[in-house]
Parts: sequence; C-alpha cells; structure tokens
Amino acid sequence: MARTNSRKISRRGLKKKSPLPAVAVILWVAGICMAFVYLHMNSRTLNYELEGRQTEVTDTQNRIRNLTAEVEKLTARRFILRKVAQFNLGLREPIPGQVHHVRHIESDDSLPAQRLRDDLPATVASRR
Amino acid sequence: MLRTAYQTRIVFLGIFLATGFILLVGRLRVVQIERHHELNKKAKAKYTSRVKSVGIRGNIYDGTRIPSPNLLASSKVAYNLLAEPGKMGSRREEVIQKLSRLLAETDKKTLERRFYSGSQEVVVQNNVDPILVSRIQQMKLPGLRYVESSVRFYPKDSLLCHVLGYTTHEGSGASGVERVYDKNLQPQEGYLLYERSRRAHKVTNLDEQKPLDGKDIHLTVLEPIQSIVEDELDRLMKEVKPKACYAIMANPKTGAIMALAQRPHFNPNDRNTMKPQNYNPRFLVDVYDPGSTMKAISLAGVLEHNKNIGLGTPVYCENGMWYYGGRPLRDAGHNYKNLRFWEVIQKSSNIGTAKLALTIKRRQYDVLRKFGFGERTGINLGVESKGILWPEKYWSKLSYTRLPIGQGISVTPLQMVQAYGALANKGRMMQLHLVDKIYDPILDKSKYTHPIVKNMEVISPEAAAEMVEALKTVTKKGGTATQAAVPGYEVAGKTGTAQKVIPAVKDANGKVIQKAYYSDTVHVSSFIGFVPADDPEFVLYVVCDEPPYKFRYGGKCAAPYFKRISEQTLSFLNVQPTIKDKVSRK
Repeated sequence: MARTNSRKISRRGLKKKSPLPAVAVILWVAGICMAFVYLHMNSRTLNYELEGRQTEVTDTQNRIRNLTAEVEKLTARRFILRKVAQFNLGLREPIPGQVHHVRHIESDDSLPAQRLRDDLPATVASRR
Repeated sequence: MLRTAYQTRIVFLGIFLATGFILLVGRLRVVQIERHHELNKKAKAKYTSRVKSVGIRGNIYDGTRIPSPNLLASSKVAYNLLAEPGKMGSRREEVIQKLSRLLAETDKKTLERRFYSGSQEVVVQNNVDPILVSRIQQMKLPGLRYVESSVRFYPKDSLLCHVLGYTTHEGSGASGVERVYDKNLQPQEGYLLYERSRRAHKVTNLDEQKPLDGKDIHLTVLEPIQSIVEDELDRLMKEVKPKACYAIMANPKTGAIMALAQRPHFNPNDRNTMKPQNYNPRFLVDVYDPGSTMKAISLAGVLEHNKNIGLGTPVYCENGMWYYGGRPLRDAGHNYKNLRFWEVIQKSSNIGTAKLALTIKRRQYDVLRKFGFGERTGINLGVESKGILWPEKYWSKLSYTRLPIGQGISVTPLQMVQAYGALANKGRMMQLHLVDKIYDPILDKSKYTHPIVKNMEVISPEAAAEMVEALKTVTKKGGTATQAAVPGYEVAGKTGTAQKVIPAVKDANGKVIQKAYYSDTVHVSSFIGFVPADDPEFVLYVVCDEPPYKFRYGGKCAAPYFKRISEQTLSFLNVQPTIKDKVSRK
C-alpha cells in the first residue's frame, strides 16, 4: 500500500512543476531552427545574387577582352596610315634624330639595369 | 501452463527480433561499409553537378615594349546560338524574321530551312558577338539557347600571317607559332563541383579548380616594321607582278627576326583566303639556287683562307667567256678583262668569282658548311628545309666553279639571312630566333630568349670587314644595285639573279625524256644587304620568285624595294645617317 501511495505522491509532484522551462526549451529550439532556416534562405539568395554578379563580371571581362582586340585593330600602323591619307591630315614620319626618348630612371641601384633591359625591344637593344 | 506459453512466445519474439536486428546490422554493413563508395557516388551524382571551365588561349604579341606590345593574336569570347523550334510555338516566324535581320551571316531562307527541318535543336549561327547576343536576349525570343565559346582573332588581319599561323576549329594550333608553341598557348581546364537544388540551382560549392589561361608569346618581330615590309611587298606584287615574293629582316647582332613577310598571303580571320599556295611558309620550305648572292659568301672564304688575295688583287675575266671542265662560263653579256677583287663583287662577275674560288678549291665545302648551308637554321617555326649542299665527294670538276656563283647549291632564304648576318656581325653567326619571351600570367614571370652565338668565328673579323668594304661598292656608281642605295647611309649588299631549274621530264615508265636544265627565262631575283654597313641595324633579304623577264635582274626587281623598306625602317628605328652630307630631309 505504502508503495502505491508514494507513486501517487510523485505524480502529483510532477504535475505541480511549472511548464515554463519546457516551453522555453521548445521555443529556444524552434527559434534556432527558424534562425537556421532564415539564414540558410538568406545565404541561398545571396548565393544566387553572387552568381548573377559573377556572370556579369565575366561578361564584362569578355567584352573588355573583345574590345581590346578591336582597339588593337584600330591602332594598327596600316589602319592609322590609311586614315591619315583618307582625311588628308598631312602627317609624316619623323626624320631620324627628330625624336628623342627621354626616360626617368629611379635612383634605386637594383632597378635601372633590369628596367632598361625589360623596356627596350630585343631587336634594337644592341643599338641603344 | 499459461505462463510457459507466454514465456515461449517471448523467447520466439526475442529470437525473431534479434535475427531481424542482426540482418539489419548486416545490411547496414553492406550498405555503409562494403558498398559505401559505389552508393555514395550514385547519391552524389544525383545532387551534385560538375561544370568544366576552360581558360583562355594565350595571346601573341610583337616585340614592342614601349608603350606596350602590339597584340597580334588573341582569343575573343563568342557564343554559339542554338534554337529549339519546337519550343517557339506560334512565334516561330517572328523569331526567323528578327534573327535574319540581326545576323549578317545567316539569311532568312537558311533559317527557315533549319527551323522547319524537324530537328529538335538546330544551330542558328556560331561565334556570335556577345554584344549581339545581349541584343537578342533583350528581345526575349522563345526557344533560343546560347553556348559560350571562343574564337581566335587576329587584330591585324593578314599581318605576319605566315609566322603566326592559324588554329583549328577545336582551338589547337595548326601552323606557325600557333602550332609550334601550342603547348605554351593552350589553357588548362578547370572545374567546379557543387551541390545543386531540385531546380538545378547552385547550393554550395564542394570543390573547385580554377582554369588557367595559356602563356603569352612575345615575338621579336616589330609590328610597325612588319607593316612597312608588307606594304612594300604589296607594292612589289602590284608593280612587278612576280609569282611570289618574300622579305626577311633580322638583327645580325642578336639573330632576332625583325620582320618576315611573304606574298601571296592569307587572312587568318577569313578561312576562304586560306589556300595552300597562300598559306605555305615558303621562306621555310622553298629551296632555290641563290645565284650571285652566294658570291659574297664564297669570296669571303677566299679572303679568309688565301692570305695572298686582298681587295685589290686583279683577276683576268677572259673577255666574258671562259671554258673550265669542258663547259663555258659566261659573264651575262659583259666582256670584262682585268677586274680587281672588289670589282668582281661590284660587277658580279661569274668568271672572276669562279677563278678566285678555285684558289681555295679544297676548302670551298668547309666554307659553305661554316656559313650554315646544308643544315637547318633552327629558327623553330615548323618544318624547315635544310637546302641542298652535296658532300664534296659528289662534286664534279665543274662544281668548284659553279657553287661559288650560286649554281648547284640550293638554299632557303633564312639560310641566306643567317650567312649575311655573320658577314655583317664581323664573322660571328647568331642563332636566328623569333620568340623574345614567354610570359606566364599565373606565375607573373617571363622566360626570355637570350641571343645565342651559333658560330663564334665563321670567318675572321678582318676578312668580314674586307668583304663588307667590297659589298659597299655594289650600291655605288658602277655597281649592280645602285637602286638599293639609301641616301645618308652606307649600304653593303649583293644582287642575285638566278636561273631557275626546270625539273626533268619523265615518261610513264620513268624514263627521262628531258633532263633538268637551267631556264633562260624563269628567274629568282633577289637583293640582300645590311644598313648601316659598318654598324648594321638589320640584314634585309628581298626575293622575287619568277618576275617578268624585263625585271629578271635583282638590281632592278628587288633592290628598289630594299631601298624603300630600309629607308622607312631606319627612320622608325631613329638611326642617325652615317653620311652627313647626303642626308635627305623630307
């Protein structure tokens, strides 16, 4: 009998406990879940946006690349000379000695030799 | 009794559950451990995607360094435009109308034929410009798909076409620099492995390897000089009308090729112009008897090996006709008597040259070999001929008088430039090269081609200097190429007028009907020289293949264009005149 009573007492004790902690835990878990879902959705949206931007960047780079090639076409010596003749600009090539290349070389001892070597065309390096 | 039955049931249930559990564990082992890789792979394939990406093929630039190199070959991004007519519904006609208006290469009839062919997917046009693609996209036409591709583009069109070569449709090099340096130019493939959603959207990146762009090749050729040379060759083709012509310019001090052009030519941007006669690099594979341009080489050997002979040594030229080895040798319509060594060069006397060359009879072969004849120059631009120089054991008595005047020996234009480069560079032969540096954009490092001395002393500097003095007289009054003289500069050079060999004719049984012979009407005319003679900036060789008869002489056919090219090049290189009182000021 005593055993049965003690059981009853313990059940009563449980019933008396406040449900708040359990609700709080549930809410906390639900909150974390919601936050996770929200952040996940957000990151996905950002990913899509990033993907879109990356495509834009690639497209722009491609356009720059194609335009650079076009610029090269329009700056070819032959093209320029043709246009000079077409528009009757009266330009001519400089006579030897008319053009002087003036170059500023930094004072750092290690730089000049390498810079000069890098900048001069291989075919005319020996002359200059 | 009831208790026992209850217990038995419990035991059976226990055994049943335990067996089930064991089987489950066993299955779990098979699935999780034994077939893990296989099943994992299957699952991954369902929720991941792997996208290949290709880098961009390297560019080819010229040798200009200030302000920046000129782009000669590049890869343009383009799109292949595809259509699925089935998805267009009632708007099919509208799509045809709008696309035919926008796309220059595809007309309405072609589009109609393709769209009503019954195929699920058809190609509308390949290599469409991205700007045009974005215009089409803005129209929001149904059933269109765009696939990114790249197309090789040569901004200067036909300029340097034989050197640059071209690529195949797959994007690998087919000829020229594009083929020889294909490994350097080729980009490396990359990939992106990502987790995808049900709607095939990217969720997260799992693994990524970025594609690597190809390396850039910087040539030694300078675009402005190349343009000058090509413009003059165009002029030559128009005015003289030979079968073909080519010009090669190199720096004798470094061996760097400055310009290399050939006519007829092609435009690598336009496949319709690519015919074998246009795209074969003749300067690499063509061999021909060089004629008088060989005299300077043979006689330089005489100056080197016969110390009794100098520029003033007289030679009796037999009044224009000399028999040796049972065959006559003529001086092409001239009746020279006594000529000094330098006059032999200036007047281009066959008899004088043959007689002088006989004084070093047994060394002639060595001289020619030392000057690089009979072996490839090693310029590394594809298949190269090594010319024809028979070993001395096969030479006849006649060979000792014919090879020095450029008959019985076949050379390539590059070999000739290399040999004259040695003369111009005080007897030191440099390795001809075309690539200045290879730039790796990934490592941001350049690998330079440093000038290599191929032969330290082909002939002594003294002998070379004497030969240069003799060659200077060729462009002066009384010489064979006065039209090659450049006002304000000393020009050392030599004309070449070679009769072409007409091949032997054989019948169906292989019996020779007619032997090979030197034609009296078909010639190769040329002029090779260097300016300024004493401190040369370049060696230039201009060759005309089969010019009209009235232009058969090198002094008349090639020399004027040598002068024009030299004048413009010296001006571009800003080389001060060496003869002050003769400076021509425009």
